[in-house]
Amino acid sequence: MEENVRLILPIFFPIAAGIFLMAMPVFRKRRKLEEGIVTAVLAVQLLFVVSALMTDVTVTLWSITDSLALVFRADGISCLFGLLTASVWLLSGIYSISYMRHEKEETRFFGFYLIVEGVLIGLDLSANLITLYVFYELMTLTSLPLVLHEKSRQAIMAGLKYLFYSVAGAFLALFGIFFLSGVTTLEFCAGGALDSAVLGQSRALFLVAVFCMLVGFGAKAGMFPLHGWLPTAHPVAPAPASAVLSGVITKSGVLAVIRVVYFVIGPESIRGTWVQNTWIFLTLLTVFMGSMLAYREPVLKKRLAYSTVSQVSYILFGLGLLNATAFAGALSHIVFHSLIKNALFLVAGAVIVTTGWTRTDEMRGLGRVMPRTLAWYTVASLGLVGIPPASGFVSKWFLASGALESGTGVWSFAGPAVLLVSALLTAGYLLPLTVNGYFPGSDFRGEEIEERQLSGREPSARMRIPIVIFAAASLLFGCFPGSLIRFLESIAAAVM
Amino acid sequence: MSFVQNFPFFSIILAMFSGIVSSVLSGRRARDLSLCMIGITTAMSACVLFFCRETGESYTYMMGHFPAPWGNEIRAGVLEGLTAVMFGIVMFLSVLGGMNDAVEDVEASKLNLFYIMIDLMLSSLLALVYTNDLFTAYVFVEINTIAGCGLIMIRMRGRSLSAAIRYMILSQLGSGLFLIGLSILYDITGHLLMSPAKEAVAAILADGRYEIPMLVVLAVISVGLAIKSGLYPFHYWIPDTYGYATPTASAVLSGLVSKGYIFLLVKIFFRVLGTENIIDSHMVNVLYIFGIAGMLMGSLHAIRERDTGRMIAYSSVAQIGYIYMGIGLGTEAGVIAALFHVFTHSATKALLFISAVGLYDVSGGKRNPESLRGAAYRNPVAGIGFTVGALSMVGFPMLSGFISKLLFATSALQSPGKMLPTLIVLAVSTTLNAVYFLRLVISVYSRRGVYGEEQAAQPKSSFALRISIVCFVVLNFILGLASQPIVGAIREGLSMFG
Amino acid sequence: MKGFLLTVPVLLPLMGGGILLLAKLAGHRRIGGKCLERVTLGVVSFNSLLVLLLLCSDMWGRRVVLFRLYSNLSVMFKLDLMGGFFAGLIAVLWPLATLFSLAYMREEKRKGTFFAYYVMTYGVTLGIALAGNLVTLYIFYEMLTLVTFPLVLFPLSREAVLASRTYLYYSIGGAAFAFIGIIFVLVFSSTGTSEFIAGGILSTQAMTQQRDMLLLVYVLAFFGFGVKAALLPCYVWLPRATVAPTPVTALLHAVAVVKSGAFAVMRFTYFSFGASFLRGSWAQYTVMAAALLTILFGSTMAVKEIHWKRRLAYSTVSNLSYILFGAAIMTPFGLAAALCHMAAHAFMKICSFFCAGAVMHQTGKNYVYELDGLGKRMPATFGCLTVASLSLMGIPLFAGFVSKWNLCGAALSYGSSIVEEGKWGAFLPVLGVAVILYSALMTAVYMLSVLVRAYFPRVSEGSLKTAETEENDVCANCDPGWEMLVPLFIFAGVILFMGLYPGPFLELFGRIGGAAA
Repeated sequence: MEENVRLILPIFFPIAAGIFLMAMPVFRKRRKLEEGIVTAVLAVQLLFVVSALMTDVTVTLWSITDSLALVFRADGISCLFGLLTASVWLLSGIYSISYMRHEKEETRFFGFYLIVEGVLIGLDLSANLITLYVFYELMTLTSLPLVLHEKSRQAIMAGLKYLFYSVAGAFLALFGIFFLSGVTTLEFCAGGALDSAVLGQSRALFLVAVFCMLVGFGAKAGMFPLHGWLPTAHPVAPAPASAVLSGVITKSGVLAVIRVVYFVIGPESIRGTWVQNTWIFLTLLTVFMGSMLAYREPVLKKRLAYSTVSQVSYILFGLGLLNATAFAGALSHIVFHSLIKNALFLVAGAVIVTTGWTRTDEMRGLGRVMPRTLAWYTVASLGLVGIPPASGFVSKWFLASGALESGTGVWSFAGPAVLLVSALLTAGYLLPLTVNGYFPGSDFRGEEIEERQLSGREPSARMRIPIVIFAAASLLFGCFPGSLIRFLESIAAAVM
Repeated sequence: MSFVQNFPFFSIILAMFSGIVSSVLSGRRARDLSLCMIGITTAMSACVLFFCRETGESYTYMMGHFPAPWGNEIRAGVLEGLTAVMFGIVMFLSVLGGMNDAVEDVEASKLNLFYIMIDLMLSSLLALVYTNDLFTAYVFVEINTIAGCGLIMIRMRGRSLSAAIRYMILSQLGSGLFLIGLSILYDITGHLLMSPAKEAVAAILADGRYEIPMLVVLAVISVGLAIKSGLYPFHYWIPDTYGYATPTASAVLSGLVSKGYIFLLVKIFFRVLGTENIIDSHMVNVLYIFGIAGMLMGSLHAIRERDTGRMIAYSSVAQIGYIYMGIGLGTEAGVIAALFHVFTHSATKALLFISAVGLYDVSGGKRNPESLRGAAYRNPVAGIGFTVGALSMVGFPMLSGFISKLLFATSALQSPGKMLPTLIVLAVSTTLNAVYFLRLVISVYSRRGVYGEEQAAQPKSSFALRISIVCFVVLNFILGLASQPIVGAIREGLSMFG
Repeated sequence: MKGFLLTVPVLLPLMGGGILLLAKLAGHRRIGGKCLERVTLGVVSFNSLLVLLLLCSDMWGRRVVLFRLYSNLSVMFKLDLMGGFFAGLIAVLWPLATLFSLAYMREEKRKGTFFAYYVMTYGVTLGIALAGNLVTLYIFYEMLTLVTFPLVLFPLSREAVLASRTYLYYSIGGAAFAFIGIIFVLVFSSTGTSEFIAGGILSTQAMTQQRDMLLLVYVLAFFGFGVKAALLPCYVWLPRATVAPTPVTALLHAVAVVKSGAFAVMRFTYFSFGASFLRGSWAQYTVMAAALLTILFGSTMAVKEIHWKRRLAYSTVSNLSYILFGAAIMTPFGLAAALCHMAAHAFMKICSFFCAGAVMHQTGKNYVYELDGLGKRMPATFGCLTVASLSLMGIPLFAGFVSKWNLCGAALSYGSSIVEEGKWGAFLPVLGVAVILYSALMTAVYMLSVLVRAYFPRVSEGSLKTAETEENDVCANCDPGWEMLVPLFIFAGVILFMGLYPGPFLELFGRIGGAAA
């Protein structure tokens, strides 16, 4: 009984806290109190999540009908995503307390920020496809207010775009769920429980359904062709929201894909079919396209958003290869990309708060304004590019070697090649900021920096510390990946 | 011989005599006499009806007990009795409902003339219903035409004169054709009485002689009576005559006169020419096609029409089409449906004309839909009457129109080739009916129109009109709800017909 | 004799409405407002109570012939599961809707007429629900047209006149085509009457000899009854009819009238023709394709429409075809799913319409673009709307998801069963699932864009001042009074309840479906 409560608690605790925060008008007036509560909730929530992940029970919260039930359980994948979500949320939360002083209606922001965390934990802990779908939809709806927080015309249009793409993806996936519910159990079990024999003549339809689910859930992960919302929605949201959107919420699409492919239908059922080939093709296309677009994009946050498009498809590529090494690589890239992208977005937010600059060409001489922050930016960037010993190298190594041993024909060579090109492009779009920041060139006078007395204006500690932690963590994981990789390989071994 | 058996003859004569007597009476008296006479003849017809139901067979009544070649015969059965009763009731209610307007429309000095025409009309209709003699039928067809012309013309206003002339010409054409048919038939068979003529026809056809003359007879009689009853495409006289006559005349003309001819046609088919011969000659198919065309075209014309009276008149074209379609199905069920529709239509169309009058009265006499707006609020009874009539025409369940539609549809299922077109056209035509009738219904119930305020002060329409409308509505419901005995009687009567 | 109790709920409102009308004709120009309201509410709630009592009693399966119209045409009532379900649904909705409309119409003139017809419609709809044979169903179906058109006409404006015309033409035209079907059922019935018997009543002889003709007639009748359910070529009347006062549009055009159409289709399909006769025939494919086209069309048009009520009406067009699609699957599961959506949609749509009505009543706003920021000024109303919208979209935990789940499940299982048989129409059910999902997406677009507008009004860039004044506006709560809010809360509650705990409902629908097909 007690374990049951422990499992459920981290789902409902932040949701309740968020609603409480918004429902009590008293907090609008007393900002300090509000900030304190938010921090406390986030910290306590981290503890709750850890305790939930240590349980070993299956909780059926509610049976809507015999075939539709809300069931929760903590397994390896839940651990990975749950811990990641809770810690990222805590750090970004601390950052946002400082950041949101510059925005209006922060109560609503914090309220929904907390609610989304609860929903995400629910997503991570769900033990069947229905539960996953429920929380997937809820996530879309509750994260919407974060996107259109500014309520400008641009933000509202972006919010609607986000909403419609996500919903479209979800319904595409729902088609697959409908189909699967007819042929197999929707409970998650490592390696999948689908018996190919029952498919009979509807095998073609089965493949279509799976493909629909991949594309549908891929929408959240920014996979081509439903990637369009990502570069629109991320830049307009407040920086901490963009950070968690890019860092965590896109990963929920990945989570859904993992659950479907490795826990419901089983990788064997699509190995070598047109579904796998198309999937890999789409991910590689997205990787390349995302990097290209990022390279051409002048607005920093948008550039980072395109980068997310590309990086998350690394993960999907790894998943699509359907082999253990690539799977481990993909899982590790989830962690690394999440940390790095959070760091990068938070830096972008810090730049906006301090200087109001959004375009990269305005940011020449940033090194004079915030040299230490820019240093951490550089560390994180190197991780994303994949320069050893930073973390990105590890995941890319596993991805590439996984591709080479996957036996998927042309993809086993084309994949690593695309990854390499994309890495170069990544370097091309991230590092110029560092270079121009520290070495603005001889023609740079820095009048603006002088005029506004921006020189040496590092962001406040509450903003800086999360950035440092993210960047440092990405570096640390790169240097000492052993335990993480072992953990991920154990998961991979179970599902293969 | 029972005394009741004299009644058909009495009622014809009574109607004629009251016409003659009316010529020396004032308008009011003539009206009272007319109403009285219609009441009495209807009661007598009812007696005939019950008598025949009792005995279960029809009887032939020889005038003056002269036998065949010289004598003149009346034949009465259940169907004749029923039709006569129905005609009587409709006539009575039409006269009752339209009598106030008749005072307005007709010159005071000619008012008694109007009622003479009514009396003659009834007399001729009864004669058409009862007679068993082809030549007598022709004579009364002519009397009917003259009375009809009189009824149209007597308003002496606007287009009623030209309408009367048009009616006259087309009617004469029809009766002329009918006469030619009769002559040829007489020439071939040597009989004018129906029953012997039928035997002769059967013999001739069995021999295979006179094939073409018989076909001509068939065609000419059918076409003649079709023109007179206004079957599409011979309907050009209908809109003006029905549309511009005084209300009683419109109701009587559209409700009864054309039905008299139809009844006669059915009688000739059954009693003289023989149904199987008609079917063999494919005449039914011709009637069927024109019937179908009439159903659609009449409604389409009506949709375009802006004048309420003419619209209702065009609707008659469509309804006559229904009847001919029923006959054209060439089955007994089809004929039963057609005859039932004769009743339905006479009750409903008269109701529509009479209640439309109630609506005109409160709209300054104007008849376009714009002026009629809100009229139903100013004259609720007329509004309800019109609505009921319209719904019955549309075939709303529990009203008479529904039963006719039902009978048509079920009988269509018995003739495989015509099944689908009939059903589809029925459905389409129902929709079209809805379009023009209900458009007007909505108009009269929509926002109070131009005549909102000042008309409120006007006296309400007369008591007689309201009584008449209420009775018509009740009649419609009776036909709709208690149709089974009536249809049973028609079936019984039809079996006595041959 | 006890069977005659069945006729009471049908006749009582008819008489009640008739008396109200007569009282008006007889010159009681204004039966005092309070009195009218009490009478209306009294009749309606008493009648609902009666219906619910009937459903709880041992009247099941009892039949009563009211009178005979013509030889084998009798007006007959029968209480079976399917009719009982529909009657129960109506009986629950009507009193609440009446409560709402009493508050909504309080300032209108000619309330007497309005409520007279409103009450009569209740009786007629119950007549459709309890009809024991096809003829009775048809009679009440026509009467429904007749008693609802004065409600559409009620504003007496030009648009209202045009709308009621269209409504009449379409309904009567549709009924005329349905009539053909009735004739065939009567003539080829194996029982000699048109009584509803689960599994159909066509004689086996007719089914073999006249197969194609019967199928053709079925298609005609499907489209005929489909008119009231706003099936594709004949949907026009529904969006137009939104000129009527909102309680009318809500109840009649989202619930009573359109549901009667769908109900008639189901009766006709499962209880007269018989699902087993139609299953796998070209007729089935035709009607299924028509339903799918309508779903596509309706949901797309709803996105295009900016008049709020018309948008909801288009949404009804598409949702009604969900029901028809379910019915066209012609398996027990399909019928169950269709019934499930029928119940769910009734609550969702009446809730959304009433929210629109509350907004119109309180603020007079009609168009979607006028709704900016109302979410904060009418929190309760928009809260209910949120529930209804999410449910319409088919978000899990709400009623709409359950019905969608069942519909798609039924379609897919039917699809795979006919794949085995190698029929050419097998792709249709699967396509249907895709279409439903597309429509769900469109639903998201047209419902959520309203909500986003209402909750997140656009602030023009950099103008703090307008934000301030807005802040002041926010304080002015313009939620309507309790008479409007209570029905809304109940509807929203039912949606949630059906979404979270659909077990008993599904069991009922399953039983109906199992018996019928």
